[in-house]
Amino acid sequence: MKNKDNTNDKKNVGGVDRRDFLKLSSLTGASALLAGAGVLAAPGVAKADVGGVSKKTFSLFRKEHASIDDVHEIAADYKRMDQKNTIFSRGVWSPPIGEPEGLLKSFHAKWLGLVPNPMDGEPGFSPEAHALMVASWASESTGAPLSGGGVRNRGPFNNWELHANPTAPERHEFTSKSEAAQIVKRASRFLGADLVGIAPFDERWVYEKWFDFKDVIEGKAKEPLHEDAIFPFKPKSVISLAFEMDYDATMTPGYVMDAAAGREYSHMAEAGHKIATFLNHLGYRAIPCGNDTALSIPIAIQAGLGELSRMGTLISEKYGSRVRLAKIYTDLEMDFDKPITFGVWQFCKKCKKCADACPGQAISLDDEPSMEPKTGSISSHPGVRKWYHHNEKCFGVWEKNGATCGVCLAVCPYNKLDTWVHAVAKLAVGVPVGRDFARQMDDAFGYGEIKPQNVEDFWAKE
Amino acid sequence: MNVMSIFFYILLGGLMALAVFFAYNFHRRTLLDKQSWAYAVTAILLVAFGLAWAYSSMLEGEPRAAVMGVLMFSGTGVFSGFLSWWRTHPSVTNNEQRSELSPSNRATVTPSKIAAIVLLVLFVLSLPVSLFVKNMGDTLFSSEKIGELIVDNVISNIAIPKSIKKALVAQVRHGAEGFTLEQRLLLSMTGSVDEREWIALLDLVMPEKERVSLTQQATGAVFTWLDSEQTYPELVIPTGEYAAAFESHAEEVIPWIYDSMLFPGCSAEQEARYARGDFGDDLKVLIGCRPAAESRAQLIPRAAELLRKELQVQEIPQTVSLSEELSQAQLAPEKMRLQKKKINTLRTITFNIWLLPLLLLAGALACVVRSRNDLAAWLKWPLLSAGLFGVLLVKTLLSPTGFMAQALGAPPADMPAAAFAIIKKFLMALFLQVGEALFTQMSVVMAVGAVLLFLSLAGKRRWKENI
Repeated sequence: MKNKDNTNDKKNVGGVDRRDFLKLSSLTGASALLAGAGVLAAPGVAKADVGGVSKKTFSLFRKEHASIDDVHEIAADYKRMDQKNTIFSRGVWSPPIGEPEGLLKSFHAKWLGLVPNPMDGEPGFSPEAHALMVASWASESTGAPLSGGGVRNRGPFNNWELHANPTAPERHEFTSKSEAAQIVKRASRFLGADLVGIAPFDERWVYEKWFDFKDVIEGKAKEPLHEDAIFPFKPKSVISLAFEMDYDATMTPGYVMDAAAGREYSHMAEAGHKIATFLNHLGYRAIPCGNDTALSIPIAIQAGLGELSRMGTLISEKYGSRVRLAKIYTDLEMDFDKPITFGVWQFCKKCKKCADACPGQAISLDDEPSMEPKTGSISSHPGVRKWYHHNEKCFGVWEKNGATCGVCLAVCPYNKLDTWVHAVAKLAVGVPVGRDFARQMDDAFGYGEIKPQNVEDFWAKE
Repeated sequence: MNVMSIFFYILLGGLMALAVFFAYNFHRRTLLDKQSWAYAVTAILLVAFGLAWAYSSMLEGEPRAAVMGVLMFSGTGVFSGFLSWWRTHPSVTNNEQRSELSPSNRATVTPSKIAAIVLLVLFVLSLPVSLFVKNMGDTLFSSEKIGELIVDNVISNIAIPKSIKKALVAQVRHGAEGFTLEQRLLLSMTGSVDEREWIALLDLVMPEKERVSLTQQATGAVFTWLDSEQTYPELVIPTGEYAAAFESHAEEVIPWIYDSMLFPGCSAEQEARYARGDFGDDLKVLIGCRPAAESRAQLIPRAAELLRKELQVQEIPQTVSLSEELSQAQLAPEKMRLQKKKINTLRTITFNIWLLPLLLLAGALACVVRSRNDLAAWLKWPLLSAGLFGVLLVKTLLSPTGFMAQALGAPPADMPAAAFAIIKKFLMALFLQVGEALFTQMSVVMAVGAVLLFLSLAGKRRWKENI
């Protein structure tokens, strides 16, 4: 029988003590899908063409709208979401994410390698894939720990005291709001964002109360922080950022799929910090955020980055479903982008490919969206007409895998590489008759298949 | 765009220009109308589009999209080209010529030919299916073969660790709903046991020889039941022996747990208690962490004692009788006899179903074959088609990633996930074995058809040369 004493070495991941790592990193990992799914997210192509690369692609059917309320039905008495009810926050107080079922703890223990993952050895669950996954989150874990899990103002990157109090002696005055927007977008793209849009500050998307459970999971406190959401300054604009996930990694099962998300959380932590620093040097206050502070998806819709989908995530024109979102609050006044629609909502009504593929059956198969969730979950926040997805079921799949799941993002027909072939297909999908058979064509052409072969293909690429 | 792509698109452009030139010359000779021209241009564009699509898809790593692109776009283009050509054909441009050239003038359609064609189509479809069913029956209804299949794929020393792994993964994926955190972590810990360690544990309780023997007894009991007047299969499982073996090896099982399952090391406080000889009486606590080597000598006997107590509390019966279990499970004798009758009917059908395609073929040939030449002429295409259909059936249905594997995706709601995983593993092995046999059989059928076709073509050529 082999001696397994050396297995303790596995606990030290990348030079960081396992326990610290658990504390700092992987809640963040889990986040994009679930955090965004709490509330809204909505439509369009923004005209912002920054850094020589436009966030829009050619579309005959794009339409701009004056505001998000023109795109989505939002209840007049819409109440802001308490962050305590998001799926990650519930890990410290509400079953089944919290104990006795303890889905969050079990997920993390497997994710970090603190306990063996029974899935190890299955396609996509190799030691090198696990190492890649942990490494992909490294900048987020160190720079903005648990930001993906919704924890704000932690770590050197998401440091509010630093970024909300610029040391520049005086403010740089732009000649116009339009110029300010152009400069900020150009800088943001240069500093690492793939898509950039500017949205107005809309308090509806800010959590009613912020929730910080970092000290609880680190064993430093028994009670999480649960406090009123009060910004250190009055924000005038929100810079919405999208980060493209790697296509091959997104299509690969297991840990590599998680790594596709993790890499972008690391990117958003780095880019948010840099862009906030850029604003600080011009004399403006800024707060970089990942999944914390407010809901990213409605802000991205307001900023014209894309449309809301059935699965509750943003569909961008350029990268489809394959994006992760961040935002920066600032007191710099800029021209705002407009929400756009390009047929996603109508397509999602017919397609349902994500719902069919979801291993947890967490995505609604209803033909029409609704104002109220039918999931019975406190993590489904009502007040917006959309398809509510079942957060507990979704997170259940993560716990089983010991890694985040992005099957819905991978199979979505909008998840394609930016090639002429798919540009042609998008044109076809733009017209109503095209939408009727686009899903069938997508299946027949073999797109969106997460095959074990994809693992070998991923590692075989240079 | 890389150099290769630039070269490809230039080449494609050149081919399109060449096609236009060819179409122009061809149509000028045949004095084509505008509609035929439109078909020709559409054909060129669609074929080129399909090829470009395929190239781009291959670069993207989507081979199926490439094939579909060629089939859908280039295929439509070829059809359009055919329409263009057809409009120049004498049969369209000159009805008199058409009547001379039409094959219908040379071959008359008779009711017996129609009947033969229908029967041959049924033969083509039924041959692979009936052979598949027969192959399946040959394995499932043979005590020896099914026993071997179970041993080789589920319970042998080589197969059983993989069976356990499959069961474990299935339990995690489909059967852990409602588990507590403690249960989830225990499931995870079980995942760390490697293949050799599983065999080591099983050797203590039920070594391979005994597992094989029990399997043979079980399959023998089922077939004896099928072939006799017994109401229930007679099988007695000596569970008491296995429990006794486990109890007697308790001192070895405890270190197995420490070495195989990656529980964290015991805390300093716990080690201090062990050093004082304070072990407590909670087995979960004793095996829930890995003690230091110096504590183990005293700890293991204590933990083994507690394990034996736990087993005694479980009141494991000395034997389990299958017939008693079935009768207690409210399976009335009449119901069991009915089930037996159904299974035996199925057995008879699977053994004889191969006659069906032969009868269809014989019927078809009887309708039309009047000479040896006729026999070859009427056999070649059906054999070739049946063989091809069978090979495709194997590839699409019975491969490890085929339809059957997909269809066996998730366990039914009323079946334990782990049990389903093991049954699935067995079924996949069965499909693979049956598929391999069917592939060989259908390849032979296809080869015979191909030989007949070759001989027929060679004969025609000789005939033409003689003319």
